[in-house]
Amino acid sequence: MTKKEPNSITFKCGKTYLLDDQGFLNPPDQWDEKFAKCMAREQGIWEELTDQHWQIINYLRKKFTKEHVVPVVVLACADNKLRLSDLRFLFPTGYHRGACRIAGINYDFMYESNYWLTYETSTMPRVDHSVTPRGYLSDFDTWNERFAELIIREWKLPQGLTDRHREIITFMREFYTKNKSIPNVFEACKSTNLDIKELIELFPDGYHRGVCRISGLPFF
Amino acid sequence: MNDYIFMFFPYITLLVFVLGVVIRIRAWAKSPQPGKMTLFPATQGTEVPGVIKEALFFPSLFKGDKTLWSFSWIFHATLALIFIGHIRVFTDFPALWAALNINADNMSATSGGIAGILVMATLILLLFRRFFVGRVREISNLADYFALVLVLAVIITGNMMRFSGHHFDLELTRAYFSSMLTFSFSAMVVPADTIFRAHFLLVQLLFVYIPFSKILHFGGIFFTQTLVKQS
Amino acid sequence: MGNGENITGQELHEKVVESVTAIKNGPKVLNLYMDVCARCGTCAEVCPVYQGEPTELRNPVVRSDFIRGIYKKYTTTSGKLLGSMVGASDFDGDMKKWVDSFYECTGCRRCATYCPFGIDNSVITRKGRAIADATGYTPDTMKKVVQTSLDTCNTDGASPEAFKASIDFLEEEMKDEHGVDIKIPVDVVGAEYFYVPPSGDVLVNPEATTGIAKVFYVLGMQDKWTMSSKCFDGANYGLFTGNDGHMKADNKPYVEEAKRFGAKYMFMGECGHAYRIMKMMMEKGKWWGDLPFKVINCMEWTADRIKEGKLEFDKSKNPMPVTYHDPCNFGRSCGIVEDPRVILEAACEDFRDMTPNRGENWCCGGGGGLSAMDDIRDFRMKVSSVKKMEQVKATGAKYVATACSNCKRQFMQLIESHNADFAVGGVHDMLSRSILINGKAAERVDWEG
Repeated sequence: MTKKEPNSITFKCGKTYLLDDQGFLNPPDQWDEKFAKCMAREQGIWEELTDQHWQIINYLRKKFTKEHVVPVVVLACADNKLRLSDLRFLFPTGYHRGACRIAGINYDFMYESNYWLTYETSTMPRVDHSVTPRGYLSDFDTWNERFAELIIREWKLPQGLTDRHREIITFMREFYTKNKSIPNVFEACKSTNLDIKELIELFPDGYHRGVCRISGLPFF
Repeated sequence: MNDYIFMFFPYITLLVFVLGVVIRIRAWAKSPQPGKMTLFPATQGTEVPGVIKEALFFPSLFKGDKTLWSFSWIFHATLALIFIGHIRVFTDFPALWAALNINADNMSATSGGIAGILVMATLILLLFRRFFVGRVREISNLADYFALVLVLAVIITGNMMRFSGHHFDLELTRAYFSSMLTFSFSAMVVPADTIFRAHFLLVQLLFVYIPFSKILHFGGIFFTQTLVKQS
Repeated sequence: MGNGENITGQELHEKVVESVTAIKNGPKVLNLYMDVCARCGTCAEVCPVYQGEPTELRNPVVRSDFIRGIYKKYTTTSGKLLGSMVGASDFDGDMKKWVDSFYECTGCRRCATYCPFGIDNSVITRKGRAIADATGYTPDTMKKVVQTSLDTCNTDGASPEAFKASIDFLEEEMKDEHGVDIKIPVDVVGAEYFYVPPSGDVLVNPEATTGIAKVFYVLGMQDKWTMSSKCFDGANYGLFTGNDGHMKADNKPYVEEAKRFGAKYMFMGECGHAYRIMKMMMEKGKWWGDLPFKVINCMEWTADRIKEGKLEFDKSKNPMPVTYHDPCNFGRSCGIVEDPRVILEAACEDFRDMTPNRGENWCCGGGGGLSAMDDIRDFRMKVSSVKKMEQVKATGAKYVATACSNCKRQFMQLIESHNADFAVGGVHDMLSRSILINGKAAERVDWEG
């Protein structure tokens, strides 16, 4: 394997973990429950981890740390009495990219123990919100951070959803809740101290398709 | 002395050429092959008609690189015409010309002249391609340039006979070749024309070179294409 | 990377020269390829790797010249006399360069389709890899896959027990989807069809296998087919390392198993190179003499049943635009091009072809076993797949169906590394999702949106 510079990830809780070049925890002994919880959010699990999640995670941890194996997806499901679709539902980014990553199994271990493990064809997480044909949220109240994250993914912003994004979105949503109208671009920029350059950087689609859409405001 | 070269070299050339080609082709034919390497889909053509089509029209190349195809096809097609045209150096068909009501010398002057220019032009384009297209320059070695330059020299001397304005004596040349074909050395008169002599020597060099070089691809194509066509 | 530590420079040189000069005694195809190439450069024009990022070492002719040069130097009169004048060269001792270069050719045979002489550079690539293998230079990943496969008959290293557990699980899956008992018979002596998938289609992405089980069920042929708990992986990496001995050793148990079952058909799954080895090499080349069975492919078989009108589908289960990627080994090398399209058009609402397609398709960039090598992942993501990605994007497809595990792995990594907006899977996967059993398609949680 050609090794690249090690990556690291710092979660919102402030804790930093080292990752391999595929974004898997490495070295593996850094793993703790906090990592699982934070990594789960990165893998499209937006609510708290449930008992069912933990059952899989603990199962994988046991196999990995005690038996030094990673079961293939079909056997993991069979052992845990899960349907494949249940597993997809629990871990939207898939078994190896989702479940194994959250359980702290590193990529090289999976690849070297059996490269087919990493061949599982899973899908990217998709919008589970109802949107208009133009891509605006149909219902203002169904907005959550996942929706914002998906829009960010669409824009392919390298830094992802930042606190600055959140700040602006919060302003937009509060303004709309209070006034039942959309602030014009000057009001919005002035109230959030946003200049044009930063606006385009943070919201490449501009004000209406960018700022308003990601905040879940309807299309005018 | 010079004349002796022109009296005996052609036989050696022919011998080397024929033997060389036969040995090479025999080696290919005899070499064992466990199975075919068929390429699909079958629209590429089945064995015999498909291979003949490839040899005559280069359809695979046409799909892959249209520029090269146009240079290459015109080059090979005119070369084949010129090759056929050279029969008149050995013998003539007055009855045929009379039946078709053609003035053979005029026809040969026009079509032969055009072919001579075309073949030279396309060859120069092919040579340019070797120099200036990156992916071709990368793979060109001395042998590749040598083959092109040699053929070019043959073509240029050939064209010079037609275009340089000096008189080329067809009758004399024909007599020379017919006595060569009948092994009548005493009657053999080698034309004194220096351009002709240069042309003929270069042609002989080319023919001796062919069995040892990639120019034999005109024989190889039938083997390689058979391997990938469906039986 | 295998480093051939047990071999000295001189031994290496001798071995290389010896095995290159052995070309003189056959096969014919290599003999011809040493002599006939007119060096026109058309192969580079159509090569997915060279077109991805042109460098001299990626030019197919330059790569093939590693071997051609030595051949000319040691076996031809002109090469002996004139040396580099006629393109002859000696082995420079740098086997590492060979390995890097020969494992940058995806063996897709696209060059052969466009070459005016039909010269197939993948044959020369395979010879180069065979020499690397004989001198211990095969990359470690490849070595390991071959070894696992020889030891356990499958590239996963899975035991028969694990396999059976997986099959039980898949039967339960199908029971949940359709409410009926759809069997996947295992080790049934006397079955007509012996199904040989790539192991991934059972253990990792099992929908292709469930799709086939459903077709047998609908046709009322549940007791006519079987899988083997020992031989359930057609993948054979001997093809990719160039080692004929390994390739045959890996192949033999499958033929024996088919004979043991008394099968009439060796029923190959969605694995391009496995089908090519069985059909074009093993069966045609009579490796094991005359066979009591015929090698067929699941896609041509299913497509025939669809044409006969025996299968029904609910296309609305697959509403997204779907395209088909022709795996090189199925398309160019075996001519299975129409059948997968028949299946997909029957099972999906919106099937679109990419251009070019069928025998002229661009390689996914992971052919020739490269897909399994993560040490050249960057190369696969940024060089060999450039053309493929352009093609897929141009179709606007949201699902790329392909009948090859290596292609699927390559695509999955492409999707990840390019953040691309489509999914990848098998052909029978699409069938499995939309085929009607007792008038009903599978009930599945629609996690794909």
